[in-house]
Amino acid sequence: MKQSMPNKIVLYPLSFLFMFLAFSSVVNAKIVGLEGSSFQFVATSGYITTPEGNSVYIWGYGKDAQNVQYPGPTLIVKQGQKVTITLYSALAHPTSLLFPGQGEVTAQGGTRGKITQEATPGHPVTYSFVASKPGTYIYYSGSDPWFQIEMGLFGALIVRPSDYDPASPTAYGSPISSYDHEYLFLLSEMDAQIHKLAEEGRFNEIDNTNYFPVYWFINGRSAPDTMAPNFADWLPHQPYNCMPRMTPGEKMLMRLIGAGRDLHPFHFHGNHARVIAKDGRLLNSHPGANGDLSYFRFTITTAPGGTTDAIFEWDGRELGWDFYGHSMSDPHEPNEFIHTWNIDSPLPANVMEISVPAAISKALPKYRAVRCIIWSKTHQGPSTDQNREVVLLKRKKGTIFEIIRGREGTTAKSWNPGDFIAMTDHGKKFPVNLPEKQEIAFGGFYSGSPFLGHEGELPPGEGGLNPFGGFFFMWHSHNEKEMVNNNIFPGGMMTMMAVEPPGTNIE
Amino acid sequence: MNNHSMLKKMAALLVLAILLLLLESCHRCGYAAEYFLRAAKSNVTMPDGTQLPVWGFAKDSSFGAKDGKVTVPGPVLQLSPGDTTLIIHLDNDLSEPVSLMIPGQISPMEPVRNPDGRIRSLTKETPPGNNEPVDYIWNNINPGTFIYQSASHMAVQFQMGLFGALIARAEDGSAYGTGTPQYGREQIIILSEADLAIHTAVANGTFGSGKSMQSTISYKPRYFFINGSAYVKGQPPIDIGPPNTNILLRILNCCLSTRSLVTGQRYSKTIAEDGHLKKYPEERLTILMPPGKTKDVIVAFNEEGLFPLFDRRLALTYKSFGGGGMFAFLRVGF
Repeated sequence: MKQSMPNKIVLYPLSFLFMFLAFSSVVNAKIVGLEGSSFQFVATSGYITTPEGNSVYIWGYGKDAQNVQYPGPTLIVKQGQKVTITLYSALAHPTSLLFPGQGEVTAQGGTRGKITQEATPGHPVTYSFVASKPGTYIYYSGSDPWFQIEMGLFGALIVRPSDYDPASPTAYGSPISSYDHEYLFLLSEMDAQIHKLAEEGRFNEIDNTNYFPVYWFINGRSAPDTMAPNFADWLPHQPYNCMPRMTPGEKMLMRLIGAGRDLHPFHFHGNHARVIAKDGRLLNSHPGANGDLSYFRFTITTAPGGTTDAIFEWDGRELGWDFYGHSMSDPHEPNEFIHTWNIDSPLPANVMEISVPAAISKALPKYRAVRCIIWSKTHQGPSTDQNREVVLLKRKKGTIFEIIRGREGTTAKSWNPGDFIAMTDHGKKFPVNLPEKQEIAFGGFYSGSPFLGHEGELPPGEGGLNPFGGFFFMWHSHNEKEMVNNNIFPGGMMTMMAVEPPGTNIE
Repeated sequence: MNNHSMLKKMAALLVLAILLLLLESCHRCGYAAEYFLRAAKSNVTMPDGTQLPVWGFAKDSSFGAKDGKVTVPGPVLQLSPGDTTLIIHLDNDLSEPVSLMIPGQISPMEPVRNPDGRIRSLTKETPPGNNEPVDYIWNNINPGTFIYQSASHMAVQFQMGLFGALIARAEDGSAYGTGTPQYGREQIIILSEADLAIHTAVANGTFGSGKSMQSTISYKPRYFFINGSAYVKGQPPIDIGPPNTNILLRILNCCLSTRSLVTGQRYSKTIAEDGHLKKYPEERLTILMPPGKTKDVIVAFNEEGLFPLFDRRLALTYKSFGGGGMFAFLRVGF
């Protein structure tokens, strides 16, 4: 289990934040986009801005000619629906739409192109298909794809399962794909020289074999714009942000799309994620197997033109200290106890071995000792039980663990069947003596405290981007070169993921 | 132990030994794929009219006949179902030593070093202008899809075109024997690319230590191919078979970079990788192909038509507009 020190991450020096200016009472974060079954696209040119101050000419799709956007609108449809998209074009070149993986797509109108029907000014094309299976998909231009995809003619298509329930959503209908919040990570890159030549109409000077990207995007924005709100009015043609947030114990669905041509090792701090689907198909050994071929990764590389779905969770397990800053007698937070079970036979004070239920044993670390607290069944939790005992469990063989008794100032006691034992860091001290303030370089995301939901004193002008005392983890392309904006660090394919204190509204 | 039983035992051993010898000799004499390959220069016309100098393999009828055509990729080498022996007699018409290896197939390697100790060839060399063939033998060929290639001066020789496909089949005639998903037809798809500047320097003798181009460090391919063709308008499609038939695409990446292949916007099932059958086929829209990788992929189309097969990493032109890249149409039916 990879676990970064959140206090280290929050010191990352980014200097502004827009996200928390307004938030509603929506419980589940949802990907924004166009919902429905019948859509109209206009393909036209426009400009996007990059954080180092450039303005780049693009071609994109928009719901109308004024709202051309990079990437195109995220289409959100329902499984089983017939979907139609009418494409109008104001571009100098014929253009089109491909919907990979949507079975038989019919295209009517326009003129016949190499791969599909193409739209030209005054001659729209209507594409239609039945969204037969749920999942995360991509659409892109099928006309000179090397050029038009580069210019920005691509977007995300999300097909919600037929039994989709916004209060208890899943990506694929099966339990393994259930989630609390979903976020889009549509990755792309850009060679500014190609865009400049296109802007000046010097198309024949564009050399595809000299391709050299200098911008990298998540959902069409480079960091730190990735963290500005959706539909920020100062980014009129880049409406989608990427500011993933969650609280401990929740599940976050990551919908990753390889929209550009390069492979990006998308790396997330904080925990591994379970990869559950590729290219809109659950990783199953057979239909209905609930993603039994899913696997854990902390870097996901999605094939260009492909998609990946992963479930990310963060509950601080095995962090090794209580990130709430609790003392042992404090009440516990929801999700704080990672694994709790009942002792099934008497455990006298001198016994140094314990049998753990098979399901729990499977979930405990293989090679490391884990900290547990034992308390009496007559108490609500360890915080109310003065007789609690802190122990270490160390796997011996199978479900048999060595139990090291009476840790952290507690003494070994006799416990009875039905008493509780939990793997937990509740009340375990922060392992570091915090340096004096004058020895710390602050960042906007540091709340002044290493504990979740706490805020501490900060020097004037520091902090301010972390109103709830959350933990901020950098999520980014692990090809570090891609974390720049036209040679200026930091930026590019990067954003911050926030773990907020329990009870925080996540929009 | 008495003499009688000793004699009986000796007789039994003798019979066993004779049987084993017979089996072994049968195996050697009747049942092996044998090829006469020749490494030689050639030129290939590119979509923009450029003559691209290449090094390739030709399949001759015998050593010295020189009646084969040099192609890039080289000729497809095939073994009969169940055959496990491959013998290649190599002839070398190039100006430097060449050799052969097949990653994933085991044979004794005899590396050749320069006087300073640096390795020059991963296995024994065939010298230029050899009067006798140099034989490369594999006795335990595994079924599957593999790349054969030169094992000498590989930074230059591989990208010049000295590679090709080896197809070996299981005894039952299928790709991998028991457990292979059913398929009706098969088609080889070889991805490759070429850097005109390096090819030209090699052809003109200006490549090498102390010359104008010293190494392949600045490798930047300009031409991109499927089965040796850079797509041009009107190029004939690849006929893969009738509708509603499982078609096995044997895909080999002989580029020096990763490709992301999309098959007609439809799902495919990757059943094997690097010559190993997968327990669970992978249903994908994108077939990620690192350099040197082979994948066996089943596609099926339920209607007749032309389906685009292309590199989603967008190596789709030799320069600007007008095609010339890693693109082809798969034709179903007709």
